[in-house]
Amino acid sequence: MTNRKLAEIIRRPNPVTLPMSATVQEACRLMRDHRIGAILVTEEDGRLVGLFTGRDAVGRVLAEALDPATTTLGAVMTVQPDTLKPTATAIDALRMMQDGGYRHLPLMNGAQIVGIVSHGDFCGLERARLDEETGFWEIL
Amino acid sequence: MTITAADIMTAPAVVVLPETNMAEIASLLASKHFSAVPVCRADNTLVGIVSESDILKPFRESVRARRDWWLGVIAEGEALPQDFLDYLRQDTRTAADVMVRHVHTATEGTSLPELAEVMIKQGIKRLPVLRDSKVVGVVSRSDLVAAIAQSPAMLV
Repeated sequence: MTNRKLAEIIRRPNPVTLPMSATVQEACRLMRDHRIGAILVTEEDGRLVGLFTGRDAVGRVLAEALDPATTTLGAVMTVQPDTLKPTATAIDALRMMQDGGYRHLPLMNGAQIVGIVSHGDFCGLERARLDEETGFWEIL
Repeated sequence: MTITAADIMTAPAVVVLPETNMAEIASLLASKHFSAVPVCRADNTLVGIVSESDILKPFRESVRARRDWWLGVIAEGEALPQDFLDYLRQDTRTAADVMVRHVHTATEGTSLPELAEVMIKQGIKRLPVLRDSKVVGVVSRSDLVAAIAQSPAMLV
């Protein structure tokens, strides 16, 4: 079961996207209404250009006293985030999140967005901050 | 009017007593999707906070021995597995044994940018809100996201 493919884990087959010109406030409305932690930022042709998370809203906008109603996602998003193929495994994703220090990974089939997985998709309590336990990763 | 912690906090806060056991805390965190919970005396005086990692720390060594089991637990994506709960039920520790005593907190008048700064600097997602050393609410990162969605003009 540790070899589960990410395609089996995706809970939201049509991930929520916004253009770079959308505001942080619009992104936060979508995150609140859909109870999600991240928005994929796309070009008009659907190409992935960035990722904006609730953590970014707090750290890059609110803590910096930027105005969420006028700050655009293009200004504060993570540009060209790491991605994975849906054929990758859950452990591949957890490893990448651990190494990169992030909690969300877009899944791409070539240039096509097929979903997003978040750290929270892997488990409740036990998804465990175990990834913070260095000893755990040494034995993988 | 500037909005503050009092306007966006979840109140009353979900808290546990110092004598609450590990299995109860684990179930609470999992069912509420909380990453941490304040530990309070019966009169709601804050004495500490317990997070997922505080519960799991002592298992570091056993993790090595039970690699496959832990991998399965992490990767499976289910609710709390029964064998994990059974494992915790053998655990006789209480909240008081594992909690962190130095807790970052806010007051009802703390501004949203201040809340944001503490969360980012300390790498935490939840802040207990205190009045006279008693917990009156908790502000989470998602409360801040909801506040931005609601009324950005009054945030700062």
